[in-house]
Amino acid sequence: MSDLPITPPANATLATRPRHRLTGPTADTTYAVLRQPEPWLVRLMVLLNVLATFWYFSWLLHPERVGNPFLYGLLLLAEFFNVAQALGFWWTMLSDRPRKTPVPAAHYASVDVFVPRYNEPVDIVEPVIAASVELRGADVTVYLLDDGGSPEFAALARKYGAEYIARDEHDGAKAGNINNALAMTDSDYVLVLDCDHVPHPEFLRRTLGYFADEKLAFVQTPQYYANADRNPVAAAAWAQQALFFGCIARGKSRIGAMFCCGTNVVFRRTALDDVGGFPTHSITEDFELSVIMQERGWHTEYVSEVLVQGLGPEDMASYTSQQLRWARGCLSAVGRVLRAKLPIKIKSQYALSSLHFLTGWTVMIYMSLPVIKLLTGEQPVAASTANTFLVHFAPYFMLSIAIVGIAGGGVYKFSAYALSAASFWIHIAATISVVTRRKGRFVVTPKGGAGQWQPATVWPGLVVCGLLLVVGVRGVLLSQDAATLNNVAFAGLHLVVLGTGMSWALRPRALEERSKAELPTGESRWQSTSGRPGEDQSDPLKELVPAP
Amino acid sequence: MSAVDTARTGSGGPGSGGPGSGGAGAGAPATLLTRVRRAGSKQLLTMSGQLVAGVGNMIISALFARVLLPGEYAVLVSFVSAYVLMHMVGSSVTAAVAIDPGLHKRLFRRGLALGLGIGAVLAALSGVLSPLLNLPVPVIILLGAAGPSAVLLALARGRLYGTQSVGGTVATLITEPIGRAVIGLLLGSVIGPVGAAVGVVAAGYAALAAASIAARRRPEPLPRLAEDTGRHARRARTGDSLYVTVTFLLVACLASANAIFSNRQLGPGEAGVFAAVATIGSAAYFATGTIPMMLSGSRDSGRSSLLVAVGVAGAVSLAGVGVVALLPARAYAMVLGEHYASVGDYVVAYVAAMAALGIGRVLIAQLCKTGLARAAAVLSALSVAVQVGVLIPAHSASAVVAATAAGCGMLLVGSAAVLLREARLQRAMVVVDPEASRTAVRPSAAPAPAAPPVVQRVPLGSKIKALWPLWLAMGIGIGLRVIVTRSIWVDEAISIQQAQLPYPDMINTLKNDDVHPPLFHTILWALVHLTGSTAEYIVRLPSLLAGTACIPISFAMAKDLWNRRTAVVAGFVVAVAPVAVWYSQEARMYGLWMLGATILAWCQIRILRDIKEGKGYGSLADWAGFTVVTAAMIYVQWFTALPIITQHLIFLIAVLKVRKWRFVRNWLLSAVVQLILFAPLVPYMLDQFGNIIAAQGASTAPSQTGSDTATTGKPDVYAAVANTIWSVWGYHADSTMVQLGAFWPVAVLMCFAALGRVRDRTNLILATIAVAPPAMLFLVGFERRQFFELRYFDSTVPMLLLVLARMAATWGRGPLTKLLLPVVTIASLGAGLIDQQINQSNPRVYDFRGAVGWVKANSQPQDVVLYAPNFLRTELEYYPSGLTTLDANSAHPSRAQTGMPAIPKQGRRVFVFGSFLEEPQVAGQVGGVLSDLDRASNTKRLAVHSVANVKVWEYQQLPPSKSDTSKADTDHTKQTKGGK
Repeated sequence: MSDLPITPPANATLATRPRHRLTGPTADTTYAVLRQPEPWLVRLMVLLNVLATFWYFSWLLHPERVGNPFLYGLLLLAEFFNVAQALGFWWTMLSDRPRKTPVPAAHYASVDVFVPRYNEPVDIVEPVIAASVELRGADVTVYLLDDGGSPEFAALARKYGAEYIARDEHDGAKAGNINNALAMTDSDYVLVLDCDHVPHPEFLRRTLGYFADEKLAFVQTPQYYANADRNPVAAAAWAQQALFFGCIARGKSRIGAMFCCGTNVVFRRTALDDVGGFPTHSITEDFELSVIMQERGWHTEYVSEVLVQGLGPEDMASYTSQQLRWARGCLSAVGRVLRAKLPIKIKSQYALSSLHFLTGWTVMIYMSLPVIKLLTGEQPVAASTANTFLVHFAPYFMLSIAIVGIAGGGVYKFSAYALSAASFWIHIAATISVVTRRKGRFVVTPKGGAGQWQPATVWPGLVVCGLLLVVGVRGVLLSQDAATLNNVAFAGLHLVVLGTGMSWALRPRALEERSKAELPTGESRWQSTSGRPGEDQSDPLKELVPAP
Repeated sequence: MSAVDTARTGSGGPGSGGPGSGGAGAGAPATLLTRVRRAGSKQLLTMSGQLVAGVGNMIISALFARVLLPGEYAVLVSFVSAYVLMHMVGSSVTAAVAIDPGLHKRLFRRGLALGLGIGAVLAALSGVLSPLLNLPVPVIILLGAAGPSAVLLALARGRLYGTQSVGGTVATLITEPIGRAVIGLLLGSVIGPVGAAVGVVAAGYAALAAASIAARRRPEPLPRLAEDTGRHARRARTGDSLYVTVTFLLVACLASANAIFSNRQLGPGEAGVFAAVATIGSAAYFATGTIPMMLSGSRDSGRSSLLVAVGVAGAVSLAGVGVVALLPARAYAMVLGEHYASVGDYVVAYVAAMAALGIGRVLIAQLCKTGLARAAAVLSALSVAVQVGVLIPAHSASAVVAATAAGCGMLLVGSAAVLLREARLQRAMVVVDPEASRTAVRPSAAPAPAAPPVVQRVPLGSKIKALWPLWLAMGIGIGLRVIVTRSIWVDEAISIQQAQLPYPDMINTLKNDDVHPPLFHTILWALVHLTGSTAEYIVRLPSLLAGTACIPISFAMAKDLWNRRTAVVAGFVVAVAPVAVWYSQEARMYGLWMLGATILAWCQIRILRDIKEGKGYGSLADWAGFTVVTAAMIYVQWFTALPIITQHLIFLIAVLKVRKWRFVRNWLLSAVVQLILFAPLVPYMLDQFGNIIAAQGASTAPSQTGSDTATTGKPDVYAAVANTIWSVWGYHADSTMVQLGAFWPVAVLMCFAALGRVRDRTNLILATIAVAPPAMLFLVGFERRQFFELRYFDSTVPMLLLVLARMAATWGRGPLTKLLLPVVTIASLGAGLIDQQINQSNPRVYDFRGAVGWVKANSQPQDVVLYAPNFLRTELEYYPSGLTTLDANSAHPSRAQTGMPAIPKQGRRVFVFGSFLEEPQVAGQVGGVLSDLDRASNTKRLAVHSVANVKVWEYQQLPPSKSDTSKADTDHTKQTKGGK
């Protein structure tokens, strides 16, 4: 089956261009990577999924099904968690609707662009500064917030006419760095960009208009990885992001529960001032900041347009580090979310997002069941034939996969799922560290980019793979009856999924070869205002609806 | 610009108005009608000369029989045969000279030297050859003397054809019988066969003289083009001439190879019958002999001369077929004698084959004329290879006829296909004129007009080489399909039996006792009646051809829809796919159905692609293909309704999305035409369905047995899994199916792997066409379980295989997985195929042939076969044991029908032939018979022979005095599983 091109070909004719109703300077790119809502299809699929879920659980919950009570309990736990997540996912998808074209900003506002930097090199940061000073539609001042204290970055800032802010004390990490800058600046709005995220010149024109809502605290935009088309790890990571920044973020935004993702976001300064800046006690300060702002009655908004191109994790070490940080941060915020004084629908959405990082536990349960069966003969479900199981399970499973496929819009692929499944141990480690209120014990290999063998970053997965392999082979050698073969097939299934997810940690040469293509830098990363080479010379302002 | 280019494009080069060009260059261009008239009159006049010569030679031959004694006449006939053979070889040069008359001058000396050489060799070896050939030495010397005339006459006649000298051609043709009559009859009556032979040789030289005189009156032939006179051009022409010569030599082999093989492989009686058939057929072939030569010599580069040549050859050939078809069978017996009464059984088919060869020869001549001599040679060689390939195992006159028909048919179809393709290419091609190109690059103030698109012609050889994966896949596919490891099964035997009935009876039988539409049975009927054979390879031929055609169709479809890589994988996948192989070997309609369904899907996807890409609303060819094949498939299988409904629903969805009137119009028009084409079948359908309902759904054929999980009870997920495995990996033993079914988590993995990959429209359409019909039958299965069975939706298998090929070709990302995925996929299919074909535990393999063979090996003429269930009757008629066969139900051993009690002769045997024993009713029936035989006092069980799904019990009658001890037989039973 053909791959969906992330960027449509430059010479695409009208006949071959994807048909969509999106507007804006990056409409084609946005459509290619985030797609559009398909409300009727989603409604139909959700209805079918709900029916299939009832069908499956009405069979599974029958008392006769209890095999080994302990295993049955574990299975139920995993299934209930997944169903809860699925229900939340379907609810969010049902809220996903096409949005109206934004209005232009009511007045020529002043915007401070914050580019916090810690230890990133010049060649990464420079394109961001260069692009930021070119932002249109507002009185823009760019600040390079250097927590590394390197003189060459002061020179870099001067080169582009940007301001340079450095701290003597580096407390509060990124949040502290931004809070420090907030205290030193006074514009109407603040745009926060990670130092590897290059903004489109039209970014502000596409976002500031939303602040016509005086209670709007921030406008979040997608966190697109420009290196997704050349680095497999970044591609898989982006595919996971695409699922979130596509239908999920659009749905959350409509529900009013979109949260800040830390970069590519424009804040109203008064909102930041109202909550006292970024919280510095959390490693996911953006998530917690969103909760606080919503508690204080501020609204949030999400613009589903690719307006910034960043760089995704380039190897398994980076990915693991990122996921571990996100998992620990979100899981540690669960208590805060549950205690928050928010409308139930918003609180539920926040809870769903933070609890997502428990998914790894369910993966571990599913993987352990065939192993236990092959080793001990014990299984969770009894009084069932393969046929009756399939009759009830197959529709539930296939429809679940189908709706994920639809939500992913062709971008979320097996590699993304496999990478997610292979991260199961990260969720477990994060949970343990949060519960024990300690930092995780897993030592992550420092980020070295493609080309390094990194088995240490995936060692728990390797152990599980070894176990699955040994138990599977043993099972086949001992018996070839249908039940054994079925569990061996399940073990093989998990083995393939985990192996695919972890493979890039063990295939440094292949990863390096795939990543050899030179990364786009600066303005060239966009190459044109459309985000596509040589296209769209029209005035983007014409696409905006005049303010009422 | 080459001669070939000019000839093809008809651009009127310097040579286009040369001698014999029909005057087109003399004044205003002739109209098509005028050109047709001119070409037609030339063809008819020349053919008349040929017919006169042929009839004259036959009359003179008859007169020789009167003049000479029988022994002398035999000597003369042998001489004339060798003489004709020499001239036939020589005449292959005629075609080359006709195309390039200049060859006559260039080859004259060499031809003369060759002829003299042949003559000298024959004269020198006459003493040795005389006893070997049983001919007198003077006759052999005379044969040598005819050597120069054979070569020179071929060249001279070629020049006459090439210069379009009708009068000269007719003169040289009719000179030969006249010479034979005057000199041969005179000398023959005086000095016997040697004198007659002198007359024949002299007549040949007279014909040569006539040709030479006629040629002198014609202007010297010009080369085709003024610039085409260089050394390289001459070399190229010589190369082409060689191919033309070889081509016509191979065509001659095609016409005569059957006679050689029939003499060697058939019994004397059958060989004699075939000789008579071949003689009649060769007359039809001979009648059209001048047509390709005149066509080759024609300078008309348009279609008129070809149309005339094909028209004349077709008319003559059809007239020949009509005459022999209308003659009653008794007429042959009356003319040729009672020994030749069976000539009528074969002659229509043989003359039809010769008619095909006659028309094919015209097309081959056109290919040579248009510069495709190499392709013509390859095609001719392939046709001969096919003919010889079928001839080698042929041991009956019908098989020899079939071989001839296969070779001739291939030549006709192949040459027509190449010509059509060439014509299409010509329409799209603009020949680059070097002069124009030079002019175009000169600086000019005025902007140059837009140049027409230039299509560079890729040499045919390069194209053939580039397609080597397809040839390899087809080679593998044909090889796998030809190796049949199972015997004719009950349904096939019933179809074969029906096909042997007169056509109206067969249709009535189908309406009353069957459940299928009539197209496949009609094809089978035609084949059986044309060949007069029901041999396994004959009745399997339609499926074999259809199944084999699926390989290039799938290749072309995948290349058209996706890319070459997918096409290559698809070619190999379809070549080794077990179910594709299985139904390519079954003498039923399923192979044909798969082919039709593939074409249907391709047409539809092409139409929708055109609309999506803004290239109109589907080409006429695609709509026509979709419409006609849809209708044809309904005539093949009623269940075609399911894919048709699916595909029309897809069109409906597309119509609702696109909302373009022209699309709607095309679709509705197609649907209406489909209904019109279907209308004639409605009365048949109503009759058949009425009968089925009246019989409460009972079928004459047994349901296909297989895995119990898939044929009993209600359809379930496991049945769906089983059918999916069958669709891709073929039929297997029940135990294997249980183990394979346990691997259903692989489907879970496939679902994960499909994430984000199935949004492509082509994939979605193919997947829908593949899944919807079985899904519908799954639901139908709750009411009629037997309908949820692969063979009722096997038309979806090619689509499933294409999707599989696409997955295997594209899901790999790294170099290793890109290689491994297709290899593993094809290897797994190969493994499935081996198990399906070889494993005798496969519940769908019935070795009736083996079981009957065992019975024949262990029986004597007075023995009896009792069979159960009753529908095995057709099997035992197809595989006759030579014994009395009785239905076990109607001929119980304890009753008199077996004759056992009535015949006291010791040693008489009873064979109980049982199959479908997993069905309780049948098992009970067979068990009852066995029990009776075991309890009978005068029978003893000797052996039990088991082959795949067939079991034979052997009993022997004992002398009455030993009846008391017969019940202790079971201890002595010997098991001979696997056959002796």
